[in-house]
Amino acid sequence: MALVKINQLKVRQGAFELSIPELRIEAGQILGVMGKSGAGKTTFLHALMGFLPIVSGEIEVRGQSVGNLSTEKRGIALMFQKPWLFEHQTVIENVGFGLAIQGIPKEARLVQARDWLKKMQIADLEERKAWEVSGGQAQRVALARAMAVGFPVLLLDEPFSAVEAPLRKDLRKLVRDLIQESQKAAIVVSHDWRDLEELAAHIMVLDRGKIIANETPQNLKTHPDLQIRSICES
Amino acid sequence: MDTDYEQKITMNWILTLPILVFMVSFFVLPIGNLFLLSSSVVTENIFQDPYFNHVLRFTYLQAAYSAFLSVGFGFVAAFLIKEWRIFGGNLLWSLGLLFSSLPSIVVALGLLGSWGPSIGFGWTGILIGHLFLNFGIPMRLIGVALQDRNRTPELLANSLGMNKRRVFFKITLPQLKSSLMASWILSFLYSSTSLFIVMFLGGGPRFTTLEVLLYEAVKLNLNTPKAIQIASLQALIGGLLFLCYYRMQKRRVQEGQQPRVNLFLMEKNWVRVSVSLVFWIITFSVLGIPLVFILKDAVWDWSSNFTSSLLHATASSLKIGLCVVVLGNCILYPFLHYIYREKGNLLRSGSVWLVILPQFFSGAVVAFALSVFYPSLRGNDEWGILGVVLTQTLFAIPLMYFALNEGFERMAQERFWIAQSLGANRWQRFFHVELPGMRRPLLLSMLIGFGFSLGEVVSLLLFAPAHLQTLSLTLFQAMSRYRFQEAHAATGVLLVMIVILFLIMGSLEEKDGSGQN
Repeated sequence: MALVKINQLKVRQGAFELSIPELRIEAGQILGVMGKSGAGKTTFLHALMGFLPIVSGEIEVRGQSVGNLSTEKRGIALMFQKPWLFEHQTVIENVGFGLAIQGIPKEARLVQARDWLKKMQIADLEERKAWEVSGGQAQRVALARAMAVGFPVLLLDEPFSAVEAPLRKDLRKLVRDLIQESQKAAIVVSHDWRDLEELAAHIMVLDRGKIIANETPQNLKTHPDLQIRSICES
Repeated sequence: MDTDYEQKITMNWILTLPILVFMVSFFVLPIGNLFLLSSSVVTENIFQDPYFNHVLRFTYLQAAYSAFLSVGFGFVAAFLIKEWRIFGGNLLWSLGLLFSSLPSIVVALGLLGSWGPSIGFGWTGILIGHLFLNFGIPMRLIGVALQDRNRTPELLANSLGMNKRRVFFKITLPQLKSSLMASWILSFLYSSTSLFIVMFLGGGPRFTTLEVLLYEAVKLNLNTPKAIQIASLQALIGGLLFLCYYRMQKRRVQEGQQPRVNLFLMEKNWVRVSVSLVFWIITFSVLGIPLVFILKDAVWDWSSNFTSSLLHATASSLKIGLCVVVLGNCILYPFLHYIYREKGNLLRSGSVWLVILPQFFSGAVVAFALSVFYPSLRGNDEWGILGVVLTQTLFAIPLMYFALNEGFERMAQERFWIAQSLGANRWQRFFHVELPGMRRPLLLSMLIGFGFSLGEVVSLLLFAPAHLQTLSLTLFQAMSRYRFQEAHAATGVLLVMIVILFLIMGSLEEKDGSGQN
């Protein structure tokens, strides 16, 4: 069964309209989203999160319609290009933030958060203040925070573009393994072809609010449409 | 969805109503009433009085000279600090803030002590007093404009053969026009409405201003019709200056990375050292000596006789200050939360200007307008303190606004989105993300409001019940009765408290700067 299902989704932002006829993401699968600036990537992300109201259509997560629910009830964890850690908290408190919100007792929370820090290979940073860690480490903390909350869907907006090249490769592998292992669904919005080629099972290419391709990375690379190939190559 | 919408509307009203009701009830209506009364109650035309016309001319003449002096000094200081990077520049940058936050009555006492009555009285005393209090405003406004300006055209023009002097006059100076005008307007406004500098350093009727005349009409001559006319005139000019200032405030944000090359940096070290030395000698002679005298006299003249009365006055000052910051924050914080977190953009521009508007009116005018509109606040033991707290809060709110607003502006929306995506509802986001992030700005706003309340005298003169003694009131009464020993002791306590507040504020500002990632 698909973990995320989108049917006839229409979102309007000023004069711009985004239209997604149908989309399915299975458990353990990553969907990549590409497109030139102004193609509708951010609108799509905001509509999924509930930051923008939808005009019509359905968004389902685990078979439950979430299109009219507020953001906090949708079960979609978000991660941005910048880690946006909560600076007044330590690393472990950041990772346990979502669990604390769910009312999980402190001891159980700490055990789970420590487990995620180990998976991210940053267990030694546990007691550090959020602003004391480096950019790459902060990105791992942000990823652990988004994974630890236990929501079925993960939405990553340009998650690696602020990270240096060697770290980037490690993070891509980490995300891919974690999604497969946890059987969550993930949507990665990126303008970097290499990120999506390595991560995503399918890549959805947007142009002026419409899907112009939804293929595997291999198919996109050899796509007969020059416009689609140029978006991927850029 | 309908219930959600209704809840949101109710919440928005809960957040915005307190400040709107407060500003309308205690500022807009009293000032509006003043204008109404000036056309109905007043029987004689004060403009026919030659003495009034002399006072009117002197008020704005001294304000204009003071403003030119403050802007001139502030501009030179800002340029030397930001472009030439003179030695001790950061210290002067901070001192500007300290000097501006000193109560004017303390400055008057310091100038009298250091320059003596022969030089301290009259034009010299008034101009130096205003320079002392106001130079920090132009220095900081122009300094920030210099720092944030677009340097690319300067470098391009220089590379095309234009010399540095022409670059400065043709390209740099036009970019600073709005900050120069805005700082002149503010300096002019503060000089035209300053009370104690003129009262204690003016030295007689020749050097009286409208603010002193208003004080005399309200407090000494009990001539309410005359006071209404003077206050209306002051309020009208304050309103006009506000409109001019409003037009100056076009926000210019330079996008992208700015070149780091500084065209005007003085590369010859000996010139920088000499200029730094000369500038510091002038600054110390004009501004530093009074400060040293204030401190010296405070320590020298301390007597144990004052201990108990000053302790009592300190306790009263603390209580009033606490009421002001609590009331100010209780009505200001929800409003700013509404603007930044609930996306109240429609109300934003109008209401924000309403919040900072009292800054453009003199303390005497607003306190008098309040006392006319709510007569029971004056001369009443129970309600008098409320009058003091209300007036001080009206003036503390614009100052507190700048600290809180900066805090809200620095908080990225993305953090709230992340928290929301992790399941945090409105209240959880408020308690777990917003409040911890606003801790420092909240504390800073409280310190600023508290510092203002400590040195404020006008509202106390008008509303304070007979039994109430605060530090600033003790100082005023001691100076009015020529009891300089007591005045110096009160100044000492006041200064120590202000310097402590200033040091805490400085450390908070530093931490704020380093804590962002």
